[in-house]
Amino acid sequence: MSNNHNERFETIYRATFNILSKYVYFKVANISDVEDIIQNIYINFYTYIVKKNKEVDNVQSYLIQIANNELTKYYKSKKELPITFSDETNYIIENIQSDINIEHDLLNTFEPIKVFELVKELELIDQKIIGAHFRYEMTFKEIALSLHISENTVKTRYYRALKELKKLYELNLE
Amino acid sequence: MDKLKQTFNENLLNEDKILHSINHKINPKNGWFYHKAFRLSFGLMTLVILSLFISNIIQSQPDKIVKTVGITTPRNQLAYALVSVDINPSFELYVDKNDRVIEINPINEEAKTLIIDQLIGLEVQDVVEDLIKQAQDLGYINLIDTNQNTVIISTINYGIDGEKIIKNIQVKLGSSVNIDRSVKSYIIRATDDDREEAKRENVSLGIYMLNGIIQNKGVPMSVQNFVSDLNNLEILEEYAEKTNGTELVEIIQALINELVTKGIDVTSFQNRLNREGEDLEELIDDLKDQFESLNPNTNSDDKNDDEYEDDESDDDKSYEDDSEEDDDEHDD
Repeated sequence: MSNNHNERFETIYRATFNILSKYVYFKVANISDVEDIIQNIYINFYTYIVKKNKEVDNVQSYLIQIANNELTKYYKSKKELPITFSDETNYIIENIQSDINIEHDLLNTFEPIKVFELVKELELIDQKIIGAHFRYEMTFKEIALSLHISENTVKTRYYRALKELKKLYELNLE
Repeated sequence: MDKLKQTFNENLLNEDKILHSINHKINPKNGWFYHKAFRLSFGLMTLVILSLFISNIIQSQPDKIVKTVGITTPRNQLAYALVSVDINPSFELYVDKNDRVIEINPINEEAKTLIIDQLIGLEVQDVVEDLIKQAQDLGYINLIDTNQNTVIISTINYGIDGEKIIKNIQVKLGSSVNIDRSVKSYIIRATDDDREEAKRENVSLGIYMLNGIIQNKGVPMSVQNFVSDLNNLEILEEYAEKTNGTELVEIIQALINELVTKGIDVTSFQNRLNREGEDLEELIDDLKDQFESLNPNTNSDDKNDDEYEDDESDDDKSYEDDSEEDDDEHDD
């Protein structure tokens, strides 16, 4: 009956992946670690619930519980603390106006895969903001809530990061 | 924007790639997922039959196994949300995990007069906008009669982010320049139980929800009859999803972006958006006025003729005034 397990598992996976991956994404700095943790969560779920035909009332909550356990193990193993940001350390003195033209260039003119690669050269907080905006289509407010900083900081950093990306892109072309 | 989003989807926490890795760890020898397509054996046929059998059991006893993950469409596809659109044509839109419409079910005869095939595969908010636009063009929405320009959108999510669907529809309809401003849309959250009851009473989900919020136990009222009563309208305004500040900002940003593509200088609008205390709804109206000035219709041409007559007389007057002023200046 393992094919039945796999179909059931995939249905649950597809329905919960976005929410669970977002949850872990904001708690771990390194992207490949994020992927490993997500895999571990689902493998645990498959092994202890799906394969044993157990029932769970609220699958999403259960997966978040597993996620918290995995994250605790991860922080201990890396001897790290969870990533945190604050408005004080991320305050930008200059008032960055949202620049429609830079956004337009970046989104419509530049090669997407090159832009994606250059995001890795930004500061961690900016990587998270850009990733959350384009991968998960989160609003500034939602990103602010997830990162525990103000919406204004997110917005300002977002547009600053776009400027930085444009600069890096043009430097790479030379 | 789509290409960049797609690139991020493909390269950052890609759902399919991670599933593939999980599969290798769960079933290192089998690799069932990617080999399934190539099996032609009797075992594959058994698997398909077994899956249909088990999915029937899951649908008939959903509470026992996994709660509300997916719904089977009339054509046996798996959807993760249902959006019901009631104008007078009524539709059910079945939505996949990527917020794209995979099936459209016209509920009444009027609905069959709209073109829906080309909408399959589009994002749900685009489909909702297009259906309303078609209904408007075909005269189902009467722009003059305020009882006939209301759209009720009911949403049920079956395992995906329902908030996102509602927000995307709000932003799309709020920033649409294809739908007349007088058209009022209300979004109501519903549940699977509501849908079952609506089917039992043989009414669309939107009609069922409207009558439910005023606890009408008699003959179900149509949308038109419902909104003709101001008390009902007040209750609906309270009950329906509100467009909050974040959505208003997104609507404005979408309108600004659209103006940029038309080569319009948007600096003043952008400054207003960034200004604290700005009346965002007024800003939206001004942006829509800008759009209308780019595409004047025949009605506004008639209006312009009337204004021309008035302006002509004003011009004569102002010439006299100006000439007097010039004389004065010359003297100085």
